[in-house]
Amino acid sequence: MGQALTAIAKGAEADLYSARFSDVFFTTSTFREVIIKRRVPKGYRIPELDLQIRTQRTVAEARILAEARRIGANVPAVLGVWRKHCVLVMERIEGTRLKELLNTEVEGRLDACREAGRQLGILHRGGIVHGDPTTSNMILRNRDVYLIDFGLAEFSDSVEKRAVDVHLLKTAMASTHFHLFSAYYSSALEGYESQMGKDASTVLDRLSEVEKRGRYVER
Amino acid sequence: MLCLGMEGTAHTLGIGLVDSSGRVLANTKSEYRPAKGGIHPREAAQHHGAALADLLLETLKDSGISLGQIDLVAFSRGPGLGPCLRTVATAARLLSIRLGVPLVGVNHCVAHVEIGKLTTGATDPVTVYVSGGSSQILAFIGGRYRVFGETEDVALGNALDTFAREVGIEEFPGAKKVEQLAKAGRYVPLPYVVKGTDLSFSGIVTHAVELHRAGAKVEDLCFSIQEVCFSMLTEVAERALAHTEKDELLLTGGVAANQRLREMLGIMCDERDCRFSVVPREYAMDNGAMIAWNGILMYQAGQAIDPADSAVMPKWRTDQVDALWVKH
Repeated sequence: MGQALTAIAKGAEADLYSARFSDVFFTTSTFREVIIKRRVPKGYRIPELDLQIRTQRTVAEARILAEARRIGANVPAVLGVWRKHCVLVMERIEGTRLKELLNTEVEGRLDACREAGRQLGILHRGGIVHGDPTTSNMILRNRDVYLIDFGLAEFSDSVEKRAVDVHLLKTAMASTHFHLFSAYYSSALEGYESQMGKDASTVLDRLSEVEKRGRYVER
Repeated sequence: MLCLGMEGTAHTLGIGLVDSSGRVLANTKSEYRPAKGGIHPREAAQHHGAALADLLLETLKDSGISLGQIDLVAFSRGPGLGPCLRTVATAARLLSIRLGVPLVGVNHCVAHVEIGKLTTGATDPVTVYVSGGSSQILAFIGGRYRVFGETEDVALGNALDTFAREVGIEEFPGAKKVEQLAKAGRYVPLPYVVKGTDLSFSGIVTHAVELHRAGAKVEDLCFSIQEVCFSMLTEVAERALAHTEKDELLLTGGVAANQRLREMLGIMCDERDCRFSVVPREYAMDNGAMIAWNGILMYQAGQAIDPADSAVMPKWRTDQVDALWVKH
């Protein structure tokens, strides 16, 4: 399987590879490309604790992705969990990252923002916070927005954590797409409110507090 | 320019004399030690009030500096224990008015970072600041020292001290004894609590104390609580480095003395090709020199204050300070 893997990213916690489904599972499927996420051992931790953390996180991420899919959010399908090696195999979402999309002059950008906000709303309504919902972690495939990278996600109904999620999306829009920011952001909020209903205003109230504290400021 | 800095946010009363080239001419302190248990704010403030005049005279005598040579007075304006802050602020205002020199109110946490930069040569680090009262991961971004992760409840030093007291370790602070006992311990699982970039230590202490009541060995718990808490801190520090794309890490605060914590952060930095510095112990603990040095930086950036408008700020956050003196 060695040559069939292509390294695509190296994060603080995990390495990401892409591969063909058939090279991993020795059969064909409607999923043609897969992403393999491996949580790497950390030399600073004692081995027992290191394994405990990596195993727990791998399993938790798989559970959250499965639940997110069950409640109707667009997320990659989990295709395999290799607990012992802290490896997660997921569907690869092919498309354009929202980050790039919003910087180009194409039709339908506001729809994509609305859809991004709606997806975040579906997660929150279903008891999941994403933890890192920036436009780098959103992919437009056909007309659907998919949320990826649930490495920092958790099951939570906390208003604070929801507000931080919204804040991270807002900041990502403001920092990379300055001139159109307000149009993007209001479309995203429209989508978010369509799912969250009355709860959206509670989250937005908390958002202004979060912003006053100024701790999540981007460069 | 010569600045007199006065530190008094918690149990340490510190006085420092620093000049604008960054030379430390004096750095003295007097510590309040509780007879038993943790710090009592009023008793600590009374200690500072009683010790201040003598400590100041001693500092001047040792350094051969006279009051007339002082160009600036800086004090720790927050965050910290109200009674302690007020006692030291009162003395600083009086000195400023009496000597006819400007007054600067310094943020204690920011001062820890600045003295760390001065003493280690770090220029733009991610800072891990861990002490009895604070646990923060800081980085300078957009004019301020931003908090990338922090404890949701008690500080790491406080957690270790509390754990030590609960399992019958008598020394204060107990964290040092925990480090010694840990050397003979083996791992028993404890909760690992990183929430995004935030940390939580109080549940770990509770769990460890319960295991102790159920018969677990103190040495094993000392080892495990260190391994778990330090791993959490190192993980968040690494995430902050990755996010900010900075390549220097600075460790400061009282817990910086712990060898195992240094080792873990050092390994993480090696793996990332990141420069790692530890602030020398004299300047990692609460001290007056850091207040004096940050006082100079703030004064030069035009951030002196009027004594009439210098009320202490017990809950002053690191990221509320406009660090106008930092140029990147």
